[in-house]
Amino acid sequence: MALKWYTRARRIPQMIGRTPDGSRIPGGPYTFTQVVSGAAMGALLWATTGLWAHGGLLPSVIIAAALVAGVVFLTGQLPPGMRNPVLLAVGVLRAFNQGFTLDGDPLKKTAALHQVATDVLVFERGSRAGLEKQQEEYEPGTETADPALDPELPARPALSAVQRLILGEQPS
Amino acid sequence: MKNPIIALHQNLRFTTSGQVWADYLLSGVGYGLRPPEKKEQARELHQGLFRALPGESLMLGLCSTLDPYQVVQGMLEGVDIDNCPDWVAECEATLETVERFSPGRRIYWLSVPLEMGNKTWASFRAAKDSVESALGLPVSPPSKERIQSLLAQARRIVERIPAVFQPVPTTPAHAVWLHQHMLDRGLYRDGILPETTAQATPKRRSALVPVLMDEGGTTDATSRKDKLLANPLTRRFLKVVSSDLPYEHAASYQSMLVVSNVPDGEMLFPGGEMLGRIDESALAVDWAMRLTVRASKEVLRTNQRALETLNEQFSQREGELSHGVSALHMAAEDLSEYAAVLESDKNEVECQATIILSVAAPDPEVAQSYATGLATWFEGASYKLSQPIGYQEEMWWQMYPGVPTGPFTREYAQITTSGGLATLVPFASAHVGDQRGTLLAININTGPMLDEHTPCGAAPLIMHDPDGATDRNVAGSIAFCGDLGSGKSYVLKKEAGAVLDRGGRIIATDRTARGEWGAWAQALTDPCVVDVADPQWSCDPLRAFPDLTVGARVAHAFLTPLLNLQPTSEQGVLLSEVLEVKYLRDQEIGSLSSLIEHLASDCALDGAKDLARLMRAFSRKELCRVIFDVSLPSIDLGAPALVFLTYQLALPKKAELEHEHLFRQLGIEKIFGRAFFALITGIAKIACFSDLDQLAAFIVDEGHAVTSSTEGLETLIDFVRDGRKHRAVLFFGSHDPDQDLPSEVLRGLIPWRILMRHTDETLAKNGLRWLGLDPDDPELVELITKQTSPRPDQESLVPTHRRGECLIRDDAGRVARARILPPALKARDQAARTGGRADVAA
Repeated sequence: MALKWYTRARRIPQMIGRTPDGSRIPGGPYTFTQVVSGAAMGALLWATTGLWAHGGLLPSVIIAAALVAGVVFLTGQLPPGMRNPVLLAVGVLRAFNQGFTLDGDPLKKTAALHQVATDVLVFERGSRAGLEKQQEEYEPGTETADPALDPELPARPALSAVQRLILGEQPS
Repeated sequence: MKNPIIALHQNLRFTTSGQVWADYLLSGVGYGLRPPEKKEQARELHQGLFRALPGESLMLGLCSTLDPYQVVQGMLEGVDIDNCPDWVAECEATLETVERFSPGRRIYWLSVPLEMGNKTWASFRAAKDSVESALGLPVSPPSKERIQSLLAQARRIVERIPAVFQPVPTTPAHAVWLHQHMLDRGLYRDGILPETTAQATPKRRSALVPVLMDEGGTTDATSRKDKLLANPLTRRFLKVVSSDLPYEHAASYQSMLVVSNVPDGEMLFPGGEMLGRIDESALAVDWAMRLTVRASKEVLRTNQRALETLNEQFSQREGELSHGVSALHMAAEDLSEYAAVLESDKNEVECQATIILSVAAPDPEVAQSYATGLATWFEGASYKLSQPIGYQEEMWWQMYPGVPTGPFTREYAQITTSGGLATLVPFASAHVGDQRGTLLAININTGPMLDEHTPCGAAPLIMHDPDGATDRNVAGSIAFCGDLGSGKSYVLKKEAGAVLDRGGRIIATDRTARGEWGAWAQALTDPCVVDVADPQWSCDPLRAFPDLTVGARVAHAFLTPLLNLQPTSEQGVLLSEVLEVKYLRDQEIGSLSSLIEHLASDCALDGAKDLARLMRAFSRKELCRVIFDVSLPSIDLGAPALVFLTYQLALPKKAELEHEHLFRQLGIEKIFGRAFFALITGIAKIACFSDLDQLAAFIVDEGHAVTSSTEGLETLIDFVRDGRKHRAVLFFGSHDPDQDLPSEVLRGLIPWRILMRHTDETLAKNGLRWLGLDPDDPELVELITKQTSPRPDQESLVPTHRRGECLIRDDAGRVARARILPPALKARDQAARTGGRADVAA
């Protein structure tokens, strides 16, 4: 047993060399890519005559013919058997997209890492009476500074705002 | 693109398109070192697989890294950790060594889209799911009935797959594992593949970490200018980052390649297994094959249209002076041949395969160099790999189960028959060995190691579990065959050391003048080393065995060949009488020396004095002190390691035993040697069989010394025959299996066989035959004589990374090329080395 690929048998490069009446097209045969790109160029030029056709009929026709012929010639230089040019063109356009995509959507800006500071609610074992007592004992300005802390940091109250709310106090 | 997975239920993937995919894990078919007939069988199985998958399917061959902890877990399984500190230390050291060479294994995956049923309803359901998902609403789970119906449909598909592929339904945990594997390609961070028996908890898309992708890695540019100047033509790779980690710590650079051109001519089989042998490229490659299988009737219609197109093109290009027309002629020939192939086999189908490959690294340049290397490797077989610009991300998703086949994939589809595609043998496996036990070797079936820590491709590890063999009802014995200096003794010591460290015991014979096994055993444990030339211990069977019945039986078996007595002769009968347990007890005979004294002076039986004289002829010899010297302490049969140093002994050749005139001329070394080897094997059998729960290994290095004697051979056969039931195994070292394992029975009862280097062609062929391979295959002969642990030149040692190469055949008959791994602990490694100074220093 041997492996034989039959891709070539089915992917036949298609060219146009004759008109429907059987006469030969000059300079042919042409690939579909050449025909389509030449026609597209012609259509583009026709639609934009106002922009470029200011030198009279003959020069305009010559320019248009030269441009169409140039496009046909250039696309004819593409290697035979090349993949679908539309597919490849889409790929080229994609390649110029820059940056991350997340789930297919471009990620324009990646958020910089930043710290989030907030109060932390700590539930301690103990009674409400104990907490109230702790609060009663608290006198602003009388607490001793923790030597481990930066002395310039403002001293915090023993209970946070949230804790006070839980204890049923009115916010000051 | 967006991840199309909505939900994962059992092995089903529900997708945004409404299509449901069913996933399976497949097992590889044994391949590698096999005769062509076996390879053809593997190809036919693949052909059956492709024919069983009508429509679309996705096949994946994933190069997964092996977690060192998983390896060590296998090494520790069944071991009493508290009582085996040395084995724990070896396992700890193994973690580091295994991590260094990142072993891997191939995981095969099959994903099949299921029929959608009513397409309108399916589309509506998909749209509803997508809207719910986009709005952040909980996606309504599929009904139980629908899941059951889909599972039944999936089962019907896999029931057609040849059983050898063992399709196992995946779980959502596997889908998550695959997702993470694809994110982390090249980073060697694969987790352990979940158990297929694990509970299949359904998962939503949120279980699959969103993927950050950057085609061309433009986000690596340090300045805006660099970013603008980045040339997309030269940056054909995909930067993939898991969105749950800071990306600078976890970028995987992946290069995707597609098979864009295939050879025009025929690719011979065996030889063209591009996917089955992909690890021979020495790269960690993931491959995906998007497959569309079409029935021949449908294909014949398409071919008819192609024929019409072809005729039209002949007309269009008539008169053209170019190579185009000859291309049309070739296409016409192929088309005609293709039609003939399909006509000749009505079961034949068309396979349209798009093969996408991925290589990856933590660095973009390295990933691109891998891609170049892979393309070059494929070029060797006339395949062309391409990286179409702008399609890296598309290709990544086309390797993802659940993603519908896109226009890109269809554009690069290559067409052949199922028979032809099967010659790629994508699901090939060269796995050998057990699931747990001792870490014996690394599988180098894909090619020798590139350096000490770099295997060639996905190289799995080979474990050997002689202890578990008893529980699996198979023999755990192993034999090593190889040239002088090929590493037999080293690997025997490695295996024996593992038995000791895992709480077992060993009994070894050593014929080397250096007494290497004695030195090795002393480095590992507190052994009892019996040196026949300078004995520190006595092997007198009457003293050695606490049970006198056993002692008397062994003494009788020893003295009969030593004194050359016929059992029915007068002296033979006398010996039998005096070795009766009652007689020995009555006469208070506790040693062979006291037996001689008794026969010479106190025995009233006829011929006693003559027998005493005969025995004294031996007992007075210096060589026989090891038996008859009562001043020596008796051998400690309870020692973890018993080593017999026998370099001063010789065994009679077969001819000397068969021809009487030669037999009469036997020297005392040979006569005593013959009897003493019988005694050693007798002691080994009794000692090894004494505890049914403890693994015991009888190690016979230089095995010809034992098997050249008929008695030695018979004892070994008995040992192996009964060993399995008693958790006792034989480790046998040999130069030539034909000579040293002359018995078919003994050969057949040793299932694990390791063939090391043999530079001699005849010995290499004998070894190959012993493994069950074709000895006349010149490639295999060259593999053993020239490609196994080769020396660069006559003056040099074998490079470190090529030492210990061999072929391993396990108890299932699977054969693979391997490299024996040294013990992870340096001290163990050094103790096992027997080469010159350079070897020990290495």
